[in-house]
Amino acid sequence: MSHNQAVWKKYLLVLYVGAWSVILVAACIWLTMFLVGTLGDPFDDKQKHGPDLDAFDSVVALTEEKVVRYLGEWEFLEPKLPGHFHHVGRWYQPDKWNFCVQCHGPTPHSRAPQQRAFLNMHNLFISCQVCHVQEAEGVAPTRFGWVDISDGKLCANPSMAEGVWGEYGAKIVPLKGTAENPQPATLDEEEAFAAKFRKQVDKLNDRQKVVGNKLIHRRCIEEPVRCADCHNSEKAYLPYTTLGYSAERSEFLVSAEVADLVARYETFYIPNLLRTDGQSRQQTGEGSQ
Amino acid sequence: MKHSKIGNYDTPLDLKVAGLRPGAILLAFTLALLLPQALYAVDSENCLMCHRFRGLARVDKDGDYRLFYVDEELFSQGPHARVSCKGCHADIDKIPHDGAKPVDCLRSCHIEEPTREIIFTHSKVREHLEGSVHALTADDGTLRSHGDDFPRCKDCHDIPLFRPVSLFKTVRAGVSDRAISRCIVCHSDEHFTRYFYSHVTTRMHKARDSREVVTMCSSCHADPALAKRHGLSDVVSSYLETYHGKAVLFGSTLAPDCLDCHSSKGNVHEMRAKTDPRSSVHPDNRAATCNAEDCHSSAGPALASFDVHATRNAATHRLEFGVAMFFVIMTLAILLPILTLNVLGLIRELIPSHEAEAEIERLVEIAEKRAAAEGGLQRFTLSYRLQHVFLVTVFVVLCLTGLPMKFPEASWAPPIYQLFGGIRGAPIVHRIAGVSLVLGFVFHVGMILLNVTRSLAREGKLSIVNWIKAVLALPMIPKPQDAKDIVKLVKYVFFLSPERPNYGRFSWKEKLEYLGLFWGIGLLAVTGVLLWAESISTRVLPGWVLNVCYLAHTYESILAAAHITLVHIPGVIGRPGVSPLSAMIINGNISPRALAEEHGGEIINWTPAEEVK
Repeated sequence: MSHNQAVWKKYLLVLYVGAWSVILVAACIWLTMFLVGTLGDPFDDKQKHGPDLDAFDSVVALTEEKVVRYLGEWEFLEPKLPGHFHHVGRWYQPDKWNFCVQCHGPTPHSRAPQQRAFLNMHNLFISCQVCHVQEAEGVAPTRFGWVDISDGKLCANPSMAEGVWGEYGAKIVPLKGTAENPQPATLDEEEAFAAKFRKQVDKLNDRQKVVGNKLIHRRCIEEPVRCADCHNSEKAYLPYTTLGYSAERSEFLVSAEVADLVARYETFYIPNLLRTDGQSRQQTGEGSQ
Repeated sequence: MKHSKIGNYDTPLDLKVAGLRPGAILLAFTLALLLPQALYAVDSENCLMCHRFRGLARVDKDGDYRLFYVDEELFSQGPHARVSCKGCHADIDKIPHDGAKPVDCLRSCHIEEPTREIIFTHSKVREHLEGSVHALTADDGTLRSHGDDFPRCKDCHDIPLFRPVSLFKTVRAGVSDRAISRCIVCHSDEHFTRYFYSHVTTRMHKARDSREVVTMCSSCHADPALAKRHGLSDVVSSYLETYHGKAVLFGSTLAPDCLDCHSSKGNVHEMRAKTDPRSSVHPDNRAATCNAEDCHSSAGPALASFDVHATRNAATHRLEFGVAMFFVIMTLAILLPILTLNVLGLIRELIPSHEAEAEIERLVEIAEKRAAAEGGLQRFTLSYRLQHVFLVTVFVVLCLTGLPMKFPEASWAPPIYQLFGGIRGAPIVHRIAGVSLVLGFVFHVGMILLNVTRSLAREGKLSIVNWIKAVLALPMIPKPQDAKDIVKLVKYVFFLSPERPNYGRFSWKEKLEYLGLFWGIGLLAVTGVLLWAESISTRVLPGWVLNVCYLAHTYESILAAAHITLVHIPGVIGRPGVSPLSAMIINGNISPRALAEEHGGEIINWTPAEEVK
């Protein structure tokens, strides 16, 4: 055996012995902790972790906690929503593309008590830009398409088969570019700024935060698109048939039934997003939708 | 399955709300009765126009997430499928809905109770709850403290779903098409028939899976703060330690959940404190509960003294704590010193003394000569190798079917358990393997003792004294030399002596393992059989013995598994030059170097003394 071989053999032996030693020592420690941990009152252990906070549980439940329903022939996993009576079945597909969602979440509307749930419902299939952003002051978008919510790329009109209400894996977005080469009207500069802002927000002072926040929202319009702008039989903001809605569904969306419903809600609503005196004009109160 | 939206037929109460005249209500009601069942569209108010969207939600000022979505498909698969939205959400009568109150589950619904043609209501539950341990008021009418802790309907119930069963030749989950085909001879609406069948058969067994029930009860009873406020112990952890709890975690539908023992004759709302003489778990009633027809019907009444909620808390369960403490100390006292010596021994292998190296090289030379002369050095005969293979196989099966039962909540446990048939098959495999181990061990010991007897008989020295002497002289029986070897090893690994111990045919570690089998197999066999045959054992033994048996069985299993994985395997095949597998367990031969390193004393024994010097 050459000298080199002998040295290598020695190294390997050291490595081998070292590995076994570490494994055995770790096993000793684990076994001791495990066995000693089996003694005593199980509650003592749980109490060491501190009291559970209902609010925290509630937040966690929205994202992580699941519960299985065992029904013999079949079973399903659904999000655990404390205090929720009806079954949810599953959670909806997350929007990984829209950068507004990263801060505002999938349930962003919270101000208008009568409308917020409805507006959040539209969040399933309409991107924020459709109602809240204009390319230029006073220039409302006129062309719309669908983007895949997993990658933000323009996609064909999704299937709107009955039973997938609003969950198309895609969202409506305003379009820019030529008719031959349309592109989603994105907020590239704002998005890049927001990404940086989010990373450094802890280091910024209050004034910097306010300025940064203003900049991110600089293209948001003061008065967003209203429900009646889409749900009216005169001139709907969104071109339903072009977006792939069936004639029947398009008709329904602008029908008197929906328009009447919208009118009932809009009576209570004064759009005031980003309005400086918005809070004072806002109707508040919980317990209503 | 989707709701058909045929027409907008309001229920009678809805018509009242709409302010129609009584005559019109009567006419509409009569017409409605004449219509086929399918026309009773549950969503007659068209609530799902909005509420079928999964994103219909908001976060309120307290941070509570409020979801207003209703899954039509799931909603249609439960007994509430025929209740209209307003049947429960009665105060919502306009758009926009404002100030909706929480639903009163005890109100009268809009559907009829079919046996008496009266409006259906859950209000009877109020009577059942009175006097129950979950009622806000005690039996004397006083309000119980910490009222917020007591469960409301929604704390235990979400909207129920059907769990139909087929009961033709075997009981299985699902709707029986045979039964349906008979029903629809008269009841032509198959949709209604399936609904009715599902409703009825769901009530013929557990309406909810045991796992869901345990999870539901755990939401309060596993909360240490809540339990402390009400002077309760951790009944969930202790339950999950029992076979009942573990079987439930593995999906058994036969194992009892909380409600099976704690609810009187299935009325879960009448649950009473264990101190209440009406309670099914009151000491006077416990035997009847355990010995129920569907449970341990053939067990002795002593089973009732088995503590399902035993913990290892010294203050409340001294016996269990003592037994557990004994096994914890024993396990650590055996394993930690041996493992320490093994680790130090491995390190010493890297830095051996010159004397030890020279001694090994000398013994290797002798062993090589003998190996060359005899064509190898046989350590184990075919019979012992086969016994070892048998022992390994049975031990692995016992571990794979036992450890998942010990750790049922671990992610690896269910897939391994499933390999052996899950909760239905694995316990049977475990018992077969256990019996096989005992029989194999008896065969092994019997064979050795028979050989001793034959040997003495051949020599004409067969007597009890000689027999005992011969047994004690067997190579696996510890001798004073083993104590000396331990001292020598300790000195060597701590660099206090250059002399390495030369073990004989079996080292002190091997002897310890071998004797451990007598203790381990004996203990596991006795406790295992007592737990297995609880119906017989509780006829002669008190139920608390089973608590002790469970602890002994589980701790001894851990000791055995830990010893094999941490001491035996690394000690035998983890040594440098042997890993990953020694050929010895296949062909029975040992290499001259391995023999010199591990059993140098054996070489010394078959070498003339002067040559060794």
